[in-house]
Amino acid sequence: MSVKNQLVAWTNLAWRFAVHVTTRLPARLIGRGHDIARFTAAVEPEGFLPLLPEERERFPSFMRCVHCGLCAIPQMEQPASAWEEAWTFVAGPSRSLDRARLVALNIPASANATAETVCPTGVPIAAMAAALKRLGSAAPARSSRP
Amino acid sequence: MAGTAAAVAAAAAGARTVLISARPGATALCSGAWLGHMPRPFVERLAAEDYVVTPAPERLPWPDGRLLAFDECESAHAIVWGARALVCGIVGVPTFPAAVLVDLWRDRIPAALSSITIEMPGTPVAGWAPASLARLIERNPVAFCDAVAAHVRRTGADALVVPTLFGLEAAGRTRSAIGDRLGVRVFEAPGGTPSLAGWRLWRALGACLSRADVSVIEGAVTGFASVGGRVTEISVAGQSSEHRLTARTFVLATGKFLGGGITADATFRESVFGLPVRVEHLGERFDRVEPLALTNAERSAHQPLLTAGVATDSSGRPIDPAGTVVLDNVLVAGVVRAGIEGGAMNLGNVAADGWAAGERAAA
Repeated sequence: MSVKNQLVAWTNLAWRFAVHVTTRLPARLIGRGHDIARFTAAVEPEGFLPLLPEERERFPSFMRCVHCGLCAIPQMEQPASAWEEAWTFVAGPSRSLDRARLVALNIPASANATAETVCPTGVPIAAMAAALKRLGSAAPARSSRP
Repeated sequence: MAGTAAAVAAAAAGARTVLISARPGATALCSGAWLGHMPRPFVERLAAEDYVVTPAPERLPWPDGRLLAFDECESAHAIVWGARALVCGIVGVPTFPAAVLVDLWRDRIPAALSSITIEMPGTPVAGWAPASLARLIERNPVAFCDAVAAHVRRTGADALVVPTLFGLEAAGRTRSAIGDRLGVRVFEAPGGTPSLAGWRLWRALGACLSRADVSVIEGAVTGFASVGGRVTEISVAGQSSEHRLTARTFVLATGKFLGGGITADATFRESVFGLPVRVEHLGERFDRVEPLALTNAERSAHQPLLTAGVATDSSGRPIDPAGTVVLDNVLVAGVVRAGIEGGAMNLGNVAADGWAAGERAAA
């Protein structure tokens, strides 16, 4: 890149940064501007939906799973596959918020309040399943494009 | 573990005892083998609940290929190899690759080892939920026997080593039924996740409490009152009601990080009485959580952070950094004590500590 082009690029960057700091950041503080709408319009088609305030508050507790597998034991009275364990859901697919439609179709019945009574770290498994179900029902169908 | 041992010991000594139990802690994740020795009276009580504790063999085979030394184990894991042993994996249980394990164990085991991986009827395409397989084998051991019998005869094995999947409640009876039908001794290799061995121990401890007439409140302590350095009352939030309990002596056996006895955010905090928490490492005392100084990047190496806990005097009462007793009628037991490393599989020592605290509390 020539020196002239470099100077143009830096000047453009400085101008954009100045506009961002002097107009858009203050506008966000007073609730004006369209940044959030533009952001969600860009990510929602990908399946990333905003969490509700109560889900956001609980989200750190969703991440407390230490993968001990204890929640997979109490309700397994009948022969079952690994996908029917609460553990498989909590430690795996529950993290796939961008694929909530798919995950919501496969949440095991055992991911419920009974499973969370034995969780050593108190992961709210039933609330986690409910959040994924809500996201799954609200998420748009993904396009077939990769 | 320490809480149950203390409660059973106190009740055995004639004290009216209440145990406040939150959720399962590290005990329910135990592998079925541990360091230290449980007190004999406690072992006898566990045996009455079909949980038999025996001295561990010199080395126990682990499903990651290691051979580990322990002091005691559940009898299911006390492997007697004999002259020929057959290691049996099960299709749909990927955590116990029998052929690989035989290769890893072969040179260090005093027996001729061979392996087989059998397929149980109805194996799910995605593999087994281990607990459901354990339940299936417990209810119908014949199906397992039919799948493995020909291999036992072919190899002439006198010991059959399987993953810890042989029952959730009546594991001893399940193994006996299989052993009698096949004409071999049946053992479970300890370890693996989820830990069905830990679940069995957890259930046996619950049965011990019930038989010892210990009242159990499922809930958490939300507050306490003290006068003159003695706790007079604690408040407990149960599942459906609030309780206020008074006692002559309180035993604190809340475990460490997994049990919830100690929390480590910016600073350390003991969760029930707010007692001072101590971590000492390289001659220095840490009040704040400093991951760089207190953890080791090598996961299985010594982790100073795991020694955080409540310091005690020789009687087990909590002390502050100056060595003064903080609460006179509180006894601290188990891994919530400073210096005892959580996660070190020292369940036998923890049980002994809890039992001693229970006896002191009732004296």
